[in-house]
Amino acid sequence: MADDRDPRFVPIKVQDGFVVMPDRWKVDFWASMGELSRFFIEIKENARLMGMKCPRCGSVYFWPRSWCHDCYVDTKWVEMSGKGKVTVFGQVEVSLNDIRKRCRSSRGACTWRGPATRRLSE
Amino acid sequence: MNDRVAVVGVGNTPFKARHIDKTFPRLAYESVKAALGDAGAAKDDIDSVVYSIYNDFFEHCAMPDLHVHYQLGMARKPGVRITCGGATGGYAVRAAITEVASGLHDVVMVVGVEKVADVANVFDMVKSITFAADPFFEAQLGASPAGSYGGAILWHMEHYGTTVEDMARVVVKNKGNAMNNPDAQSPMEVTVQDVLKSPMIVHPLKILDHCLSSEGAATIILANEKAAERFSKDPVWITGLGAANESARQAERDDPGESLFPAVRASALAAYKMAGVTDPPSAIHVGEVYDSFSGVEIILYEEFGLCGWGEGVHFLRDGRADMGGSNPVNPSGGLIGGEHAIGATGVYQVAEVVRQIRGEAGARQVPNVTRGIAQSMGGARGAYSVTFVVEG
Repeated sequence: MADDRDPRFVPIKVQDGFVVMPDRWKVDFWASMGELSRFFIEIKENARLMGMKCPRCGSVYFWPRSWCHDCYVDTKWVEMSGKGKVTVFGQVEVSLNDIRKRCRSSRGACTWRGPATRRLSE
Repeated sequence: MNDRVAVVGVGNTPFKARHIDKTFPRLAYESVKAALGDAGAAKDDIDSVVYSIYNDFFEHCAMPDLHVHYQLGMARKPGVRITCGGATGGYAVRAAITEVASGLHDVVMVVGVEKVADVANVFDMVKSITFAADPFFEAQLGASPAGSYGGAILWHMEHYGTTVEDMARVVVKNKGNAMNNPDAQSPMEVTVQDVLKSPMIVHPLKILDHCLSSEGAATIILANEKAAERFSKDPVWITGLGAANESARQAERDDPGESLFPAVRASALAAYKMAGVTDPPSAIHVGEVYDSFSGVEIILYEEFGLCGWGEGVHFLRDGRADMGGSNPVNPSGGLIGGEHAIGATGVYQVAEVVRQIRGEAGARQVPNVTRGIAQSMGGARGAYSVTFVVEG
Protein backbone atom coordinates (compact mmCIF):
# COMPACT_ATOMS: atom_id res chain seq x y z
CA MET A 1 0.00 0.00 0.00
CA ALA A 2 1.18 3.44 -0.82
CA ASP A 3 -0.20 4.78 2.43
CA ASP A 4 -0.53 3.58 6.01
CA ARG A 5 -4.30 3.83 6.38
CA ASP A 6 -6.11 0.67 7.40
CA PRO A 7 -7.64 -0.58 4.14
CA ARG A 8 -10.66 -1.96 5.97
CA PHE A 9 -11.85 1.61 6.50
CA VAL A 10 -10.94 2.92 3.06
CA PRO A 11 -13.83 3.05 0.58
CA ILE A 12 -13.37 1.44 -2.81
CA LYS A 13 -12.20 3.79 -5.54
CA VAL A 14 -13.22 4.23 -9.13
CA GLN A 15 -10.14 4.95 -11.21
CA ASP A 16 -10.49 5.63 -14.94
CA GLY A 17 -13.90 3.98 -14.76
CA PHE A 18 -12.62 0.82 -13.04
CA VAL A 19 -13.11 -0.24 -9.44
CA VAL A 20 -9.95 -0.71 -7.38
CA MET A 21 -10.48 -2.51 -4.10
CA PRO A 22 -8.30 -1.71 -1.06
CA ASP A 23 -7.02 -4.66 0.92
CA ARG A 24 -4.14 -5.73 3.09
CA TRP A 25 -2.96 -9.19 4.06
CA LYS A 26 -1.65 -9.05 7.59
CA VAL A 27 -0.51 -12.17 9.41
CA ASP A 28 1.39 -12.23 12.68
CA PHE A 29 4.09 -14.80 13.40
CA TRP A 30 5.98 -16.39 16.21
CA ALA A 31 8.26 -18.31 13.88
CA SER A 32 10.32 -20.89 15.75
CA MET A 33 14.05 -20.91 15.12
CA GLY A 34 13.90 -24.49 16.38
CA GLU A 35 17.19 -26.36 16.44
CA LEU A 36 18.96 -23.16 15.35
CA SER A 37 17.95 -21.30 18.54
CA ARG A 38 21.35 -21.65 20.19
CA PHE A 39 22.93 -19.56 17.42
CA PHE A 40 20.89 -16.54 18.52
CA ILE A 41 21.13 -17.25 22.25
CA GLU A 42 24.94 -17.51 22.13
CA ILE A 43 25.20 -14.15 20.37
CA LYS A 44 22.88 -12.48 22.86
CA GLU A 45 24.20 -14.00 26.06
CA ASN A 46 27.86 -14.83 25.34
CA ALA A 47 28.75 -12.80 22.25
CA ARG A 48 29.87 -16.06 20.64
CA LEU A 49 29.44 -16.87 16.94
CA MET A 50 28.50 -20.52 16.51
CA GLY A 51 28.61 -22.89 13.55
CA MET A 52 27.91 -26.60 13.36
CA LYS A 53 30.37 -29.33 12.43
CA CYS A 54 29.81 -32.75 10.91
CA PRO A 55 31.39 -35.43 13.10
CA ARG A 56 31.91 -37.65 10.08
CA CYS A 57 33.36 -35.48 7.29
CA GLY A 58 34.44 -32.47 9.35
CA SER A 59 32.54 -29.90 7.27
CA VAL A 60 31.64 -26.82 9.27
CA TYR A 61 28.31 -25.24 8.40
CA PHE A 62 27.89 -21.51 8.80
CA TRP A 63 25.05 -20.56 8.81
CA PRO A 64 24.66 -23.40 11.27
CA ARG A 65 22.86 -26.55 10.07
CA SER A 66 21.85 -29.34 12.42
CA TRP A 67 22.66 -32.11 9.92
CA CYS A 68 25.31 -32.67 7.27
CA HIS A 69 23.78 -32.69 3.81
CA ASP A 70 26.48 -35.01 2.52
CA CYS A 71 26.66 -37.55 5.37
CA TYR A 72 23.04 -37.33 6.61
CA VAL A 73 24.12 -37.35 10.26
CA ASP A 74 23.54 -34.74 12.97
CA THR A 75 26.17 -32.02 13.36
CA LYS A 76 27.57 -30.57 16.59
CA TRP A 77 27.89 -26.94 17.69
CA VAL A 78 31.33 -25.36 17.35
CA GLU A 79 32.43 -21.81 18.12
CA MET A 80 33.61 -19.88 15.07
CA SER A 81 36.76 -17.81 15.35
CA GLY A 82 34.86 -14.60 14.71
CA LYS A 83 37.23 -13.72 11.89
CA GLY A 84 36.44 -13.97 8.21
CA LYS A 85 37.38 -12.50 4.90
CA VAL A 86 35.00 -10.30 2.93
CA THR A 87 35.34 -11.53 -0.61
CA VAL A 88 32.89 -9.16 -2.24
CA PHE A 89 30.36 -6.62 -1.04
CA GLY A 90 27.66 -4.42 -2.41
CA GLN A 91 25.78 -1.48 -0.98
CA VAL A 92 22.00 -1.39 -1.17
CA GLU A 93 20.95 2.14 -2.09
CA VAL A 94 17.18 1.63 -2.22
CA SER A 95 15.56 -0.48 0.42
CA LEU A 96 12.16 -2.00 0.91
CA ASN A 97 9.81 -0.27 3.31
CA ASP A 98 10.20 -2.71 6.17
CA ILE A 99 13.97 -2.75 6.00
CA ARG A 100 14.14 1.02 5.79
CA LYS A 101 11.93 1.41 8.84
CA ARG A 102 14.11 -0.93 10.86
CA CYS A 103 17.31 0.73 9.74
CA ARG A 104 16.22 4.32 10.35
CA SER A 105 17.00 4.10 14.02
CA SER A 106 20.60 3.07 13.47
CA ARG A 107 21.83 4.31 10.13
CA GLY A 108 20.73 5.87 6.91
CA ALA A 109 21.37 3.03 4.53
CA CYS A 110 21.74 -0.72 4.78
CA THR A 111 25.06 -2.23 3.93
CA TRP A 112 25.01 -5.94 3.38
CA ARG A 113 28.28 -7.71 3.06
CA GLY A 114 28.38 -10.92 1.17
CA PRO A 115 27.96 -13.40 -0.19
CA ALA A 116 28.80 -15.17 3.05
CA THR A 117 30.87 -18.29 2.81
CA ARG A 118 28.44 -21.08 3.57
CA ARG A 119 30.80 -23.94 4.24
CA LEU A 120 34.27 -23.56 5.63
CA SER A 121 36.92 -26.16 5.96
CA GLU A 122 38.66 -25.82 9.30
CA MET B 1 1.08 -44.49 -17.74
CA ASN B 2 4.06 -45.43 -19.93
CA ASP B 3 5.98 -47.02 -17.11
CA ARG B 4 4.78 -48.66 -13.89
CA VAL B 5 5.41 -46.56 -10.79
CA ALA B 6 6.42 -48.12 -7.49
CA VAL B 7 6.63 -46.70 -4.00
CA VAL B 8 9.97 -47.94 -2.66
CA GLY B 9 10.35 -45.91 0.53
CA VAL B 10 8.17 -44.08 3.06
CA GLY B 11 8.98 -41.99 6.11
CA ASN B 12 7.52 -39.32 8.34
CA THR B 13 8.09 -37.39 11.54
CA PRO B 14 5.67 -37.65 14.44
CA PHE B 15 2.89 -35.09 13.99
CA LYS B 16 2.29 -32.50 16.70
CA ALA B 17 0.46 -29.23 17.23
CA ARG B 18 3.89 -27.67 17.66
CA HIS B 19 7.45 -28.81 16.93
CA ILE B 20 8.95 -25.74 18.59
CA ASP B 21 12.36 -27.46 18.59
CA LYS B 22 12.50 -27.94 14.81
CA THR B 23 12.45 -25.72 11.71
CA PHE B 24 10.63 -26.82 8.56
CA PRO B 25 13.85 -27.84 6.76
CA ARG B 26 14.75 -29.98 9.80
CA LEU B 27 11.32 -31.68 9.79
CA ALA B 28 11.69 -32.31 6.05
CA TYR B 29 15.17 -33.76 6.56
CA GLU B 30 13.98 -36.14 9.30
CA SER B 31 11.21 -37.52 7.09
CA VAL B 32 13.62 -37.85 4.14
CA LYS B 33 16.16 -39.68 6.28
CA ALA B 34 13.41 -42.05 7.47
CA ALA B 35 12.23 -42.71 3.90
CA LEU B 36 15.78 -43.31 2.62
CA GLY B 37 16.34 -45.71 5.51
CA ASP B 38 13.06 -47.49 4.73
CA ALA B 39 14.09 -47.91 1.07
CA GLY B 40 17.66 -48.91 1.85
CA ALA B 41 18.64 -45.94 -0.32
CA ALA B 42 21.21 -43.17 -0.15
CA LYS B 43 20.42 -39.56 -1.01
CA ASP B 44 22.49 -39.91 -4.18
CA ASP B 45 19.90 -42.42 -5.45
CA ILE B 46 17.38 -39.57 -5.76
CA ASP B 47 17.20 -38.03 -9.24
CA SER B 48 14.59 -35.34 -8.62
CA VAL B 49 12.44 -33.94 -5.82
CA VAL B 50 8.86 -32.65 -5.69
CA TYR B 51 8.04 -30.50 -2.67
CA SER B 52 4.56 -30.62 -1.23
CA ILE B 53 4.25 -27.40 0.77
CA TYR B 54 0.89 -25.68 0.88
CA ASN B 55 0.87 -22.19 2.28
CA ASP B 56 3.69 -19.63 2.26
CA PHE B 57 2.35 -18.21 5.51
CA PHE B 58 2.84 -21.47 7.40
CA GLU B 59 6.52 -21.61 6.48
CA HIS B 60 6.91 -17.84 6.93
CA CYS B 61 8.62 -17.88 3.55
CA ALA B 62 7.40 -17.27 0.00
CA MET B 63 9.60 -19.98 -1.55
CA PRO B 64 10.10 -22.55 1.21
CA ASP B 65 11.20 -25.32 -1.17
CA LEU B 66 14.31 -23.27 -2.03
CA HIS B 67 15.50 -23.58 1.53
CA VAL B 68 14.89 -27.31 1.81
CA HIS B 69 16.36 -28.53 -1.49
CA TYR B 70 19.94 -27.41 -0.91
CA GLN B 71 19.88 -28.41 2.74
CA LEU B 72 18.85 -31.93 1.71
CA GLY B 73 22.04 -32.16 -0.34
CA MET B 74 20.10 -32.00 -3.60
CA ALA B 75 22.06 -29.13 -5.16
CA ARG B 76 22.33 -29.35 -8.95
CA LYS B 77 19.33 -31.70 -9.15
CA PRO B 78 15.81 -30.66 -10.16
CA GLY B 79 13.34 -29.64 -7.47
CA VAL B 80 9.89 -28.15 -7.83
CA ARG B 81 7.15 -27.20 -5.42
CA ILE B 82 3.47 -28.00 -5.79
CA THR B 83 0.84 -26.06 -3.88
CA CYS B 84 -2.86 -26.85 -4.32
CA GLY B 85 -4.55 -26.22 -0.99
CA GLY B 86 -5.61 -29.43 0.73
CA ALA B 87 -4.83 -31.36 -2.45
CA THR B 88 -1.20 -30.24 -2.31
CA GLY B 89 0.03 -33.69 -1.27
CA GLY B 90 -2.06 -35.48 -3.87
CA TYR B 91 -0.97 -33.20 -6.68
CA ALA B 92 2.68 -33.37 -5.55
CA VAL B 93 2.62 -37.17 -5.67
CA ARG B 94 0.91 -36.92 -9.07
CA ALA B 95 3.69 -34.61 -10.33
CA ALA B 96 6.31 -37.10 -9.15
CA ILE B 97 4.42 -39.95 -10.82
CA THR B 98 4.50 -38.07 -14.12
CA GLU B 99 8.27 -37.66 -13.82
CA VAL B 100 8.71 -41.40 -13.31
CA ALA B 101 5.99 -42.72 -15.65
CA SER B 102 7.18 -40.52 -18.51
CA GLY B 103 10.69 -41.92 -18.24
CA LEU B 104 12.13 -38.52 -17.34
CA HIS B 105 13.64 -39.78 -14.08
CA ASP B 106 14.16 -43.21 -12.49
CA VAL B 107 13.80 -42.27 -8.81
CA VAL B 108 11.80 -39.28 -7.59
CA MET B 109 11.15 -38.21 -4.01
CA VAL B 110 8.09 -36.33 -2.73
CA VAL B 111 8.73 -34.29 0.41
CA GLY B 112 5.70 -32.86 2.21
CA VAL B 113 6.20 -30.51 5.13
CA GLU B 114 4.22 -27.89 7.03
CA LYS B 115 4.99 -25.72 10.04
CA VAL B 116 1.56 -24.30 10.67
CA ALA B 117 1.99 -22.96 14.19
CA ASP B 118 4.69 -20.49 13.19
CA VAL B 119 1.66 -18.30 12.49
CA ALA B 120 1.09 -16.51 15.77
CA ASN B 121 -2.44 -17.71 16.45
CA VAL B 122 -5.21 -19.87 15.07
CA PHE B 123 -7.16 -16.87 13.77
CA ASP B 124 -4.30 -15.63 11.59
CA MET B 125 -3.68 -19.25 10.54
CA VAL B 126 -7.27 -19.67 9.34
CA LYS B 127 -7.18 -16.19 7.80
CA SER B 128 -4.17 -17.22 5.70
CA ILE B 129 -6.23 -20.15 4.38
CA THR B 130 -9.13 -17.86 3.48
CA PHE B 131 -6.73 -15.87 1.28
CA ALA B 132 -7.47 -18.61 -1.26
CA ALA B 133 -11.14 -17.63 -1.54
CA ASP B 134 -12.48 -16.03 -4.70
CA PRO B 135 -11.00 -12.49 -4.55
CA PHE B 136 -13.71 -10.79 -6.60
CA PHE B 137 -16.87 -11.62 -4.67
CA GLU B 138 -16.54 -14.22 -1.92
CA ALA B 139 -13.42 -13.31 0.06
CA GLN B 140 -15.07 -10.01 1.01
CA LEU B 141 -18.07 -11.94 2.33
CA GLY B 142 -15.99 -14.06 4.69
CA ALA B 143 -15.91 -17.29 2.67
CA SER B 144 -14.10 -20.07 4.52
CA PRO B 145 -13.41 -23.76 3.86
CA ALA B 146 -15.38 -24.83 6.94
CA GLY B 147 -18.41 -22.92 5.69
CA SER B 148 -18.29 -24.62 2.28
CA TYR B 149 -18.07 -28.11 3.77
CA GLY B 150 -20.68 -27.28 6.41
CA GLY B 151 -23.14 -26.47 3.63
CA ALA B 152 -22.58 -29.84 1.96
CA ILE B 153 -23.14 -31.63 5.26
CA LEU B 154 -26.36 -29.70 5.93
CA TRP B 155 -27.61 -30.76 2.48
CA HIS B 156 -26.76 -34.38 3.30
CA MET B 157 -28.60 -34.12 6.63
CA GLU B 158 -31.70 -32.71 5.01
CA HIS B 159 -31.86 -35.29 2.22
CA TYR B 160 -30.56 -38.47 3.83
CA GLY B 161 -31.23 -38.11 7.54
CA THR B 162 -27.59 -37.84 8.60
CA THR B 163 -27.44 -36.42 12.12
CA VAL B 164 -24.94 -34.58 14.28
CA GLU B 165 -24.63 -37.82 16.27
CA ASP B 166 -23.48 -39.57 13.07
CA MET B 167 -20.89 -36.87 12.52
CA ALA B 168 -19.73 -37.38 16.09
CA ARG B 169 -19.36 -41.13 15.44
CA VAL B 170 -16.75 -40.33 12.77
CA VAL B 171 -14.81 -38.30 15.35
CA VAL B 172 -15.04 -41.13 17.92
CA LYS B 173 -13.79 -43.59 15.25
CA ASN B 174 -10.91 -41.48 13.91
CA LYS B 175 -9.59 -40.19 17.23
CA GLY B 176 -9.92 -43.78 18.51
CA ASN B 177 -8.00 -45.14 15.50
CA ALA B 178 -5.29 -42.58 16.24
CA MET B 179 -4.67 -44.36 19.54
CA ASN B 180 -3.10 -47.15 17.46
CA ASN B 181 -0.82 -44.72 15.63
CA PRO B 182 2.30 -43.63 17.55
CA ASP B 183 2.85 -40.71 15.13
CA ALA B 184 -0.69 -39.32 15.54
CA GLN B 185 -1.32 -35.89 17.01
CA SER B 186 -4.69 -36.46 18.63
CA PRO B 187 -5.22 -40.00 19.93
CA MET B 188 -8.24 -39.67 22.17
CA GLU B 189 -11.04 -41.65 23.71
CA VAL B 190 -14.01 -39.39 23.13
CA THR B 191 -17.75 -40.05 23.22
CA VAL B 192 -20.52 -38.84 20.96
CA GLN B 193 -21.63 -36.61 23.85
CA ASP B 194 -18.15 -35.07 24.16
CA VAL B 195 -18.28 -34.08 20.49
CA LEU B 196 -21.82 -32.70 20.71
CA LYS B 197 -20.90 -30.62 23.76
CA SER B 198 -17.78 -29.10 22.17
CA PRO B 199 -18.07 -25.44 21.03
CA MET B 200 -19.86 -24.68 17.75
CA ILE B 201 -17.56 -23.11 15.13
CA VAL B 202 -19.47 -23.12 11.82
CA HIS B 203 -22.89 -24.72 11.87
CA PRO B 204 -23.14 -27.75 12.06
CA LEU B 205 -19.44 -28.24 12.81
CA LYS B 206 -18.25 -28.25 16.42
CA ILE B 207 -14.58 -27.86 17.24
CA LEU B 208 -14.15 -31.64 17.57
CA ASP B 209 -15.70 -32.16 14.12
CA HIS B 210 -12.76 -30.25 12.62
CA CYS B 211 -9.51 -31.59 11.25
CA LEU B 212 -6.34 -30.97 13.21
CA SER B 213 -3.76 -28.34 12.48
CA SER B 214 -0.39 -30.07 12.61
CA GLU B 215 3.33 -29.63 12.20
CA GLY B 216 5.32 -32.42 10.63
CA ALA B 217 6.68 -33.93 7.44
CA ALA B 218 6.22 -37.01 5.26
CA THR B 219 8.30 -38.33 2.39
CA ILE B 220 7.77 -41.08 -0.17
CA ILE B 221 10.22 -42.32 -2.79
CA LEU B 222 8.91 -43.40 -6.21
CA ALA B 223 10.78 -45.47 -8.80
CA ASN B 224 10.15 -47.09 -12.15
CA GLU B 225 9.99 -50.87 -12.40
CA LYS B 226 13.65 -51.38 -13.22
CA ALA B 227 14.98 -48.93 -10.63
CA ALA B 228 12.66 -50.37 -7.96
CA GLU B 229 14.79 -53.53 -7.94
CA ARG B 230 17.67 -51.56 -6.41
CA PHE B 231 15.84 -50.97 -3.14
CA SER B 232 15.45 -53.21 -0.15
CA LYS B 233 11.71 -53.76 0.14
CA ASP B 234 9.15 -55.24 -2.22
CA PRO B 235 7.72 -52.42 -4.32
CA VAL B 236 4.15 -51.29 -3.78
CA TRP B 237 2.56 -50.05 -7.00
CA ILE B 238 0.51 -46.98 -7.77
CA THR B 239 -1.90 -48.53 -10.25
CA GLY B 240 -4.55 -45.84 -10.39
CA LEU B 241 -4.37 -42.06 -10.42
CA GLY B 242 -7.18 -39.60 -10.92
CA ALA B 243 -7.29 -35.85 -10.47
CA ALA B 244 -10.12 -33.39 -11.06
CA ASN B 245 -10.95 -29.78 -10.26
CA GLU B 246 -14.21 -27.87 -9.84
CA SER B 247 -15.17 -24.24 -9.48
CA ALA B 248 -13.69 -22.97 -6.25
CA ARG B 249 -16.43 -20.40 -5.85
CA GLN B 250 -18.95 -21.50 -3.29
CA ALA B 251 -21.87 -19.83 -5.04
CA GLU B 252 -20.95 -20.86 -8.56
CA ARG B 253 -21.16 -24.60 -9.00
CA ASP B 254 -22.94 -26.66 -11.60
CA ASP B 255 -22.74 -29.93 -9.70
CA PRO B 256 -24.05 -32.72 -11.90
CA GLY B 257 -26.21 -35.49 -10.47
CA GLU B 258 -26.11 -36.48 -6.84
CA SER B 259 -22.45 -35.99 -6.07
CA LEU B 260 -21.75 -33.34 -3.43
CA PHE B 261 -18.02 -33.41 -4.25
CA PRO B 262 -17.98 -33.91 -8.06
CA ALA B 263 -14.20 -33.43 -8.27
CA VAL B 264 -13.74 -36.23 -5.75
CA ARG B 265 -16.11 -38.46 -7.67
CA ALA B 266 -14.35 -37.73 -10.97
CA SER B 267 -10.89 -38.33 -9.47
CA ALA B 268 -12.03 -41.62 -7.90
CA LEU B 269 -13.66 -42.91 -11.09
CA ALA B 270 -10.55 -42.02 -13.13
CA ALA B 271 -8.29 -43.79 -10.62
CA TYR B 272 -10.57 -46.85 -10.55
CA LYS B 273 -10.64 -46.98 -14.36
CA MET B 274 -6.86 -46.87 -14.60
CA ALA B 275 -6.50 -49.57 -11.94
CA GLY B 276 -9.31 -51.72 -13.33
CA VAL B 277 -11.39 -51.43 -10.14
CA THR B 278 -15.04 -52.17 -10.98
CA ASP B 279 -16.51 -53.05 -7.57
CA PRO B 280 -15.04 -50.69 -4.95
CA PRO B 281 -16.64 -52.30 -1.85
CA SER B 282 -14.85 -55.59 -2.58
CA ALA B 283 -11.74 -54.17 -4.25
CA ILE B 284 -10.80 -51.39 -1.81
CA HIS B 285 -9.55 -52.93 1.43
CA VAL B 286 -8.53 -49.74 3.18
CA GLY B 287 -8.76 -45.98 2.60
CA GLU B 288 -6.81 -43.01 3.87
CA VAL B 289 -9.06 -40.17 2.81
CA TYR B 290 -9.60 -36.48 3.45
CA ASP B 291 -11.83 -36.23 6.53
CA SER B 292 -11.39 -32.46 6.75
CA PHE B 293 -14.60 -32.42 8.76
CA SER B 294 -16.44 -35.33 10.34
CA GLY B 295 -19.52 -35.19 8.10
CA VAL B 296 -17.29 -35.00 5.02
CA GLU B 297 -16.09 -38.56 5.60
CA ILE B 298 -19.70 -39.81 5.51
CA ILE B 299 -20.17 -38.16 2.11
CA LEU B 300 -16.84 -39.53 0.87
CA TYR B 301 -18.00 -43.17 1.40
CA GLU B 302 -20.57 -42.43 -1.31
CA GLU B 303 -18.25 -40.52 -3.62
CA PHE B 304 -15.80 -43.46 -3.59
CA GLY B 305 -18.61 -45.89 -4.41
CA LEU B 306 -18.12 -47.83 -1.19
CA CYS B 307 -21.92 -47.52 -0.90
CA GLY B 308 -24.76 -45.93 -2.86
CA TRP B 309 -25.94 -42.31 -2.77
CA GLY B 310 -27.48 -41.49 0.58
CA GLU B 311 -26.19 -44.71 2.13
CA GLY B 312 -23.04 -43.22 3.67
CA VAL B 313 -24.68 -42.81 7.03
CA HIS B 314 -25.71 -46.49 7.09
CA PHE B 315 -22.22 -47.51 5.96
CA LEU B 316 -20.97 -45.69 9.06
CA ARG B 317 -23.66 -46.89 11.49
CA ASP B 318 -23.14 -50.51 10.37
CA GLY B 319 -19.48 -50.22 11.35
CA ARG B 320 -18.23 -50.91 7.83
CA ALA B 321 -15.70 -48.05 8.04
CA ASP B 322 -14.46 -49.17 11.47
CA MET B 323 -11.35 -51.20 12.17
CA GLY B 324 -12.69 -54.72 11.71
CA GLY B 325 -15.33 -53.49 9.25
CA SER B 326 -15.55 -54.38 5.56
CA ASN B 327 -13.68 -51.26 4.36
CA PRO B 328 -11.81 -49.55 7.21
CA VAL B 329 -11.44 -45.83 6.53
CA ASN B 330 -8.62 -43.81 8.07
CA PRO B 331 -6.93 -46.41 10.32
CA SER B 332 -4.21 -43.79 10.92
CA GLY B 333 -6.76 -41.50 12.52
CA GLY B 334 -7.11 -39.42 9.35
CA LEU B 335 -7.12 -35.64 9.51
CA ILE B 336 -9.30 -35.60 12.63
CA GLY B 337 -7.24 -37.94 14.80
CA GLY B 338 -3.93 -38.46 13.03
CA GLU B 339 -2.55 -35.28 11.54
CA HIS B 340 -3.19 -32.46 9.14
CA ALA B 341 0.14 -30.88 8.33
CA ILE B 342 -1.43 -29.84 5.05
CA GLY B 343 1.42 -30.29 2.56
CA ALA B 344 2.46 -33.50 4.32
CA THR B 345 -1.07 -34.96 4.48
CA GLY B 346 -1.51 -36.27 0.94
CA VAL B 347 1.99 -37.75 1.03
CA TYR B 348 1.44 -39.33 4.45
CA GLN B 349 -1.82 -40.91 3.25
CA VAL B 350 0.05 -42.76 0.49
CA ALA B 351 2.75 -43.79 2.99
CA GLU B 352 0.08 -45.19 5.33
CA VAL B 353 -1.61 -47.24 2.58
CA VAL B 354 1.84 -48.56 1.58
CA ARG B 355 2.43 -49.64 5.20
CA GLN B 356 -0.95 -51.36 5.26
CA ILE B 357 -0.10 -53.29 2.08
CA ARG B 358 3.33 -54.24 3.41
CA GLY B 359 1.80 -55.40 6.69
CA GLU B 360 3.88 -52.84 8.60
CA ALA B 361 1.06 -50.79 10.14
CA GLY B 362 1.49 -52.16 13.65
CA ALA B 363 -1.53 -51.83 15.92
CA ARG B 364 -3.52 -50.09 13.17
CA GLN B 365 -2.91 -52.92 10.66
CA VAL B 366 -5.96 -54.01 8.67
CA PRO B 367 -5.72 -57.73 7.85
CA ASN B 368 -5.07 -58.95 4.30
CA VAL B 369 -4.73 -55.61 2.52
CA THR B 370 -3.60 -55.86 -1.08
CA ARG B 371 -5.28 -52.72 -2.41
CA GLY B 372 -6.17 -49.34 -0.92
CA ILE B 373 -6.96 -45.76 -1.83
CA ALA B 374 -5.42 -42.47 -0.74
CA GLN B 375 -7.24 -39.23 -1.48
CA SER B 376 -6.75 -35.56 -0.69
CA MET B 377 -8.75 -32.50 -1.69
CA GLY B 378 -8.59 -28.73 -1.44
CA GLY B 379 -10.43 -25.51 -2.16
CA ALA B 380 -14.02 -24.78 -1.25
CA ARG B 381 -16.09 -27.99 -0.94
CA GLY B 382 -13.50 -30.30 -2.47
CA ALA B 383 -12.81 -28.16 -5.51
CA TYR B 384 -9.53 -30.03 -6.13
CA SER B 385 -9.20 -33.76 -5.60
CA VAL B 386 -6.57 -36.40 -6.27
CA THR B 387 -7.19 -40.12 -5.73
CA PHE B 388 -4.64 -42.94 -5.88
CA VAL B 389 -5.17 -46.68 -6.04
CA VAL B 390 -2.21 -48.39 -4.39
CA GLU B 391 -1.60 -52.15 -4.72
CA GLY B 392 0.83 -54.75 -3.44
